[in-house]
Order: sequence, then C-alpha cells, then structure tokens
Amino acid sequence: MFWALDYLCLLAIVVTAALTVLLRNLAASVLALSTMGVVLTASFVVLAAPDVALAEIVVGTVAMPVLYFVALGKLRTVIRENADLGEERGP
Amino acid sequence: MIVANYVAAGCVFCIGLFAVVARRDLIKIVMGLSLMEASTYLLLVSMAYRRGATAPLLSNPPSGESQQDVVHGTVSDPVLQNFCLTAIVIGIAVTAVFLTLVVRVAQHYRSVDAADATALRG
Repeated sequence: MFWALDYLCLLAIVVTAALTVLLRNLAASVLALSTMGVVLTASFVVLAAPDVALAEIVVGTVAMPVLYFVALGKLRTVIRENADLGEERGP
Repeated sequence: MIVANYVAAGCVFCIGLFAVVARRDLIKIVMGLSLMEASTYLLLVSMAYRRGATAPLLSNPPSGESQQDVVHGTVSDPVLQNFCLTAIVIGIAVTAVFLTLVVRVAQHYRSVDAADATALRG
C-alpha cells in the first residue's frame, strides 16, 4: 500500500513537471507547477514528513503561483515611455 | 524501493535543466529553476525516510515502542527534513528575486526572449 501510493505520487510528479515545460500557454504552465506542489505535498505526507508538507502546501500551492501570476501581469503592462521606468537611459 | 524516489528526483531535475538550457522564454527558465528546486525537496525527504518509519514527533514514543527504538531509527531523519524546510523557504525567495529580474528585463528590452537581452553579449 505504501509503495503503491509512493509510485503514484512519483508518476504524477514527473508528468506534471513535463507538462510545466511542454505547455505553450504560460498560465497553464504555472497551474501545472502548482499541481506539482500539491502532489509533492501528498508525497511528503506519504514519506512521513508532515512539517515539510505544511510548508510546501503554503509555498508551492499558494505563494508560488501568486508570484508567477503577478509577474505575468506585470509583463503584459503596456509601457509607452522609457521615462516611466525610472531608468537613466533607454535601451 | 526508495531508489525509485531518487530516480524520479533525477528525472525532475533533468526536466528543469532542459527548460533552463533549451527554452528562450525567461518565465520558462525561471520555471525550470523552480522544478530543479522541487527535485531537491523530493530527494532530501526521500533520503530522510527509513523503512516503516513514522513522522519525527518525539514528545512521546509511538505506541508499542520505547524511547530507545525511536533513537535507533523508527522515525524518519529530522535533520534532513529540516534541511528540506530551509530549502523550501530559500527557494521561494530565490524565485521572487528571479521573477523581479525578469520583469525588469522585459520592461527594459520590451521582450521576454532571452536572445534579445544583448547588453552583456561578448
């Protein structure tokens, strides 16, 4: 039973990691990364590490996708003038 | 076999390395670094696991076991698990710093393609 759960988690981890790299859509890729965090948490519970699982579910499932989505939103912001960036010289 | 966990961690590390080396989108490169960090977590927790072990909560021994059994390895290794906890916290901070850099580069060069960031090209 233990090894069945362990192998199931490992398979899901590898599949979601491959999806993270292969998906074209960046938002879908971020969600695949978040899913890998969830499966990694389940794997930590199976491997008798509940404290690490708690940290991982907060960081990998909530904080990491929020960071990525904020970054994606910033990338799609239109910048008209280089002076808006607050840099000394433009590119 | 716990070796399967090591192999899976190696596979995830290689997938992340492929993303860092072969992709040109800067966000994908940061995702590859996150994957490599995640493989490290899996490897550390798998190395901490012992056969038939319980979680390292040492306030009282598990039922049917004495304190000596606990000391001699019926719990998983708490030292490696604490390494993993530290790695998780450092990993999210490193990801935040990299994403900030990517946003600044994208605003400066008007592109998220790594080939367009040419200021330091030799």
